[in-house]
Parts: sequence; structure tokens; C-alpha cells
Amino acid sequence: MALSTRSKDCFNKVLSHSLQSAASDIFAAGSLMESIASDDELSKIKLSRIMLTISGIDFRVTFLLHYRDDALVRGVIKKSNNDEGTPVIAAIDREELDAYFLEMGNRFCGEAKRLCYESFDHLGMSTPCVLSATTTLKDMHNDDLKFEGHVRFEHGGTAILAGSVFVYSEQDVELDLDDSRFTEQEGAGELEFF
Amino acid sequence: MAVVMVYLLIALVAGLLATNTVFVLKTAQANTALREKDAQSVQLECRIDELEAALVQASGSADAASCAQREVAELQHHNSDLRGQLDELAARASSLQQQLNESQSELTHFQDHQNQNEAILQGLFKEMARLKELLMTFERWNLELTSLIDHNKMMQAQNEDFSTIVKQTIILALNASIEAARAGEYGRGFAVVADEVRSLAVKSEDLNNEYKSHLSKNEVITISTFQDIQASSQLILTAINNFSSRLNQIQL
Repeated sequence: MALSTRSKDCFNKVLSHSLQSAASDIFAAGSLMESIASDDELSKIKLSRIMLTISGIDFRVTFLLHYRDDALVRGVIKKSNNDEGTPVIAAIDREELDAYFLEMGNRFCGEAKRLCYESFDHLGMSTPCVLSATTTLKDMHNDDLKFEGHVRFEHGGTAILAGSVFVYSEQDVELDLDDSRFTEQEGAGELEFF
Repeated sequence: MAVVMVYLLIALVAGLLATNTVFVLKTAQANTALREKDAQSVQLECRIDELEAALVQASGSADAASCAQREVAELQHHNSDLRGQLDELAARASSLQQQLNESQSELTHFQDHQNQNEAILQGLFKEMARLKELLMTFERWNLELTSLIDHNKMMQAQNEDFSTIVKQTIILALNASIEAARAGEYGRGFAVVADEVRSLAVKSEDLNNEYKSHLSKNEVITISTFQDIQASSQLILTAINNFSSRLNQIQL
């Protein structure tokens, strides 16, 4: 059994929309270039990963938030954290960076859960966990995996942020969302367009 | 003769007197009767007047009597209808009474049932309280899995240390091979040992990489399980709280 094309499309949209929504406080929507990514592509880029899970009665959906740990990302975060927009001298250490993206992961997964509620009555959400650098996307594969989707966001030509969705179930999982669910949010000004 | 004549005269006078007396008496009787008749006549006249008056009244109310007759006929018809309706009402009342009896019987049955339900409801409340206590099990699993994740991280760190040692061993074996080659004939035996050490180090590295891969997979499985339990416990807790809220509504 496999997921329907419609369901796969909806999971991809949930992934993309939720990630953009979660990242909107540091990256203006217009400044991020979205593109579909494969796990091979993402494996080639050195990215840190945060894992979150939404569980339903007979399925679970796991999201990965991939982020670049470099001066560019730290610079963007420092700038966004400073009210006047001037760079903060104090450096962000690894733990602070992880804590920042753990919080973003919570928003990302929370938005995804809110959207999934349209199709599923009972859902629960986990807290986020940082994966170690040795883990690979192939580690996410198992016999229950029904679907995986990846999206990549570039900022100034550099892949800065990415997201993955993995749907695990022994049954069919049908997510059917109206496209207006995504456009309504954008129109409501949650995302910032330039 | 004269005496006879006198006697005859006396007899005649006497006869006349008697006759007269009779007449007087008769006249008196006749007068009495006449007065009675007269009184009767007056009474009759009065009666006639009354009858005439009654006749006039009767003739005047002939139409009313006809109307009254019609009304009486209508009333009788209406009365007949009412009687019919009364019969129907009586039949319905009887039916309602029967239904009432049945309802009372059902009510009694329902009350018994309600008492049973009340007992079941109290049982459900107890089970609900136990279910909430059972959720503590999830907390325990969370703690155990957190410990497993921490342990896994420690093993990964040790694996990294081991990887460094293996790499250093390979370099060391390589250096040993170079030194053995420099020693020429005297170093031949040592070169064999150095090659063996290098070979073992390479195998260790392969094994270590495999182990590292398994540790990574293990980490993902452990975190997945941890998160699934965490998310599912949230889902179950929400379901229990919803159910509990419904139960409270029933009790209210």
C-alpha cells in the first residue's frame, strides 16, 4: 500500500508551509528560495538536524528540521535578535544555536499539527530532539515508511534551511487539505512578503 | 155546600200557599243557583279572557315555538354528536389510561435501568481515575528512554574516541612499516608484524564504521520511539480528558 498522490502532495505542502511559517521571524518569506530536494542532495550538505514527531492513532509523521551551523546563519539570527538590527558582538555558541532551532522546530511542528487536524481527529506532538551529526537520512528508513518528502530553502544562493517529512504507517494515511488552508494563512499576514 | 166550597177554597188557598211556598223555595234555590251560575259565568268569562289572552299569546309564540322546535332538533343533533365525541373521548381516555399504565411500567423499568447505569457510571469514574494513574507509566518510559538516548550518545562519543585510536594505529603501523623497511634485512620480520597490525587496524576501522552506523540507526530508532511514546501519551491524555469531561456532563 502507498499513499495517494493527493496525500503526498498535501504532506509536502504541510512541510513547506509549516517550515516557512516557523522561519518567518528570521527569514522574510521573499528572501527564501524554495526547491524540492532529495535525501541524496541533503546528505551532501553538512547540516544539523532536529527531529519532531506527530502521532496519530495508527500512524506517525516525523519531521526533520535541517539547519546550517555557520557564520551566515548565526549572523542572521543575531541580527534578528537585535532590535536595532545591528550585529551583536557576542557570539552564539552551539547550544544557543540548537536552542534557537529547537524553538523553531516546535513552531514548525505545531503548525504542521494544526494543519493535519483538518484530516485527523486525534493527534499528539512530541518535544524536539537534536540528532547527532553522525545520523543520516537513510537511518530514517524502515519497513513502515510510506512516504518521505524534502524541501530546501536557499538564502542568497546558499542552502540554509531544509525540512523533511517521513510518514510511517502500516495503513494508508490520507491527508486531504484544501489549498485555501495554505493561502489563507499567507494572506493573513503571518508570512512577510518583500 | 158552602162549607164544601169553603173547604175547597181553603184547600185551594192552602194549595196555593203550598205551591207559593214551593215556588218561593224553588225561586230561592233558583236564585242561589243563578248566583252560582252568575259567579261561574264571571269565572268563565275571566277564564275565557285568560284563554283568549293565552290564545293570543300562543298564536304570537307559534313562530317561536317552531324556532324552538328547530333549535331543539339541532340541540338534539348536537347532543347526539357530543355523545359520540364523549364516547370517543371515553375510548381515548381508556387508551390513555392503558398507555399510562404501560408508561408507568416502563418508568419503573427505566428507573431500575438508571440505577444500574448509575452504578456503571461510578465504576467508569473509578476506571478513569485509574487510567489517569496509568499515564504515569508513560512518564516512566520517557525517563527510561531519555536515559537510553543519553547512553547512546555516550557510546557514540566512545566510538569517536575509538575511531581516533584506530586511525592513529593505522598511521603507527604505517610508520612501523617505513621504519622496518629502513632497517632492511633486519627489519623484515618487524615489517610483517607492522603489516599485520595495520591490517588489524583497518579491519577495526571497518568494524568501527559499521558500529558507528548501527549506533546512528539506534539513535534514530530510540528517539523515534521516545517521541512516538511522548506524542501518543499526549494523544491518549487528550482522549481521556475528553472522555472524563463527557462523563462529568452525564453526572451533572
